[in-house]
Amino acid sequence: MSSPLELALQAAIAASQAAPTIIDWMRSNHPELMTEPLPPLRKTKAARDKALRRTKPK
Amino acid sequence: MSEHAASARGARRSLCGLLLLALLVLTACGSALDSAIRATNAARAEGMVAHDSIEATCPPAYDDAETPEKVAAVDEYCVPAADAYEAFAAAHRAAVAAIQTAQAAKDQSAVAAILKTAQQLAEAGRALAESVSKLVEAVR
Repeated sequence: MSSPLELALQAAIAASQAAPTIIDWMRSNHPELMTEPLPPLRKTKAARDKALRRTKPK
Repeated sequence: MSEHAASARGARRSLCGLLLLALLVLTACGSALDSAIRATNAARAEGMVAHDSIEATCPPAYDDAETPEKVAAVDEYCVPAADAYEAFAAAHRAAVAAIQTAQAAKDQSAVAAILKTAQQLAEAGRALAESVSKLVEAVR
């Protein structure tokens, strides 16, 4: 029969051996954050500015 | 039953409990952040759809407007859509920043900030969806 200390050591060894596997598994299941910001509305802004200039009362 | 065997069983049980608890905490920590990342990525994809819709609809409408009144008429549906898109883009940037802060902190201290930015992103998304559908109806 193993002593509580032996059991604790065995569990600690098993946990330390399993930890890299668990961490690898968790990493592989993590979605990657898309950090790129949404692009500005360049065409719309340019078209509006152009329309305002074009239709400006003289 | 000997006292030794009982304490061994107790130690094993408490170790198993601790391991289970650690796994649950790890899984919970991971899933909170993962959910936020998935939601933010999905929001970005929706934002791109809105971006493309606005960019495909508004420039030709402005090009066709020949008078100040017609430009104002286009403004009625393009300006709210553009404003809603800008607000959504800002909310997306804030959500990304909050997640990056949480990832750098490697703890749950930034979860409140993530929840707040996620709520703002959802609200901005609702406003954007509404203004884009008005835009689509207006040009139909």
